[in-house]
Amino acid sequence: MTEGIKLISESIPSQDKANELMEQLIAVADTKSVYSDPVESGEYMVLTASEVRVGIGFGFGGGAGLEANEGQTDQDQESLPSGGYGGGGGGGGGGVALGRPVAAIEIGPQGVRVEPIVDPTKIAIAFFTTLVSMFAMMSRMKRGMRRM
Amino acid sequence: MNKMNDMLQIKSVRGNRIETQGVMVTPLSKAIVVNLPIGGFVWNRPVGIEVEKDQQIKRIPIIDVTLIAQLGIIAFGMFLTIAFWLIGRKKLGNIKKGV
Repeated sequence: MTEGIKLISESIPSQDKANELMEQLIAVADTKSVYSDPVESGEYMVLTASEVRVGIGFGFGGGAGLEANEGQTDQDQESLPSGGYGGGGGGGGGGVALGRPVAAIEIGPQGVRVEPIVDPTKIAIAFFTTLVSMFAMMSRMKRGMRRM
Repeated sequence: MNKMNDMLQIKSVRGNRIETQGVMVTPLSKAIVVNLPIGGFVWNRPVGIEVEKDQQIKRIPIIDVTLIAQLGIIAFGMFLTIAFWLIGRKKLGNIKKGV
């Protein structure tokens, strides 16, 4: 009976797996994830610098129980044979990883140069989102003022 | 306090040195780590490089132009919206007073 309970409790996801996952996440905080390996071409060496954002979320749970016989209390269940036992567990999670190049570093005979990488798409999205939000806010304000 | 430190960490990390053409380059990055019991978040970004040449150390910052432009646009948009709102309120106040 006790072995059965042990077997069930082992099958339920534990915090250890979550901790392992978190350790892998913290490994992202290293410079290796931000800077690429240098690439040599002639007299020049180039490496890129990127911004990295990683997020994860998870949750798990489980439970096990014994089938109680008639007149049997919870405390008796460990010692007395009962009808059966059962349990279950489960978990789930999700994550996101985003990376964006920020600059290219060039090491050459003239010295070291940092060339910024501009993402026009992101800037355009920010511009149009702000513009739409501004118009929406202003039209609401106008409507509010008309009512006054 | 310690629990808070475990939950939120700001790390400045120095990478492995790269040596070429008598120049030593050390990449530098800053990471924000949020550690929660139900997950976590890491934001790692490059902050600059340290260039060592002829026993002189120079730090070159890495500027995220895209992020600055995005934040600038959002801040400007908010400023304009607030400014128009204040002007509108003032105009409405004048109309009510009969000015």
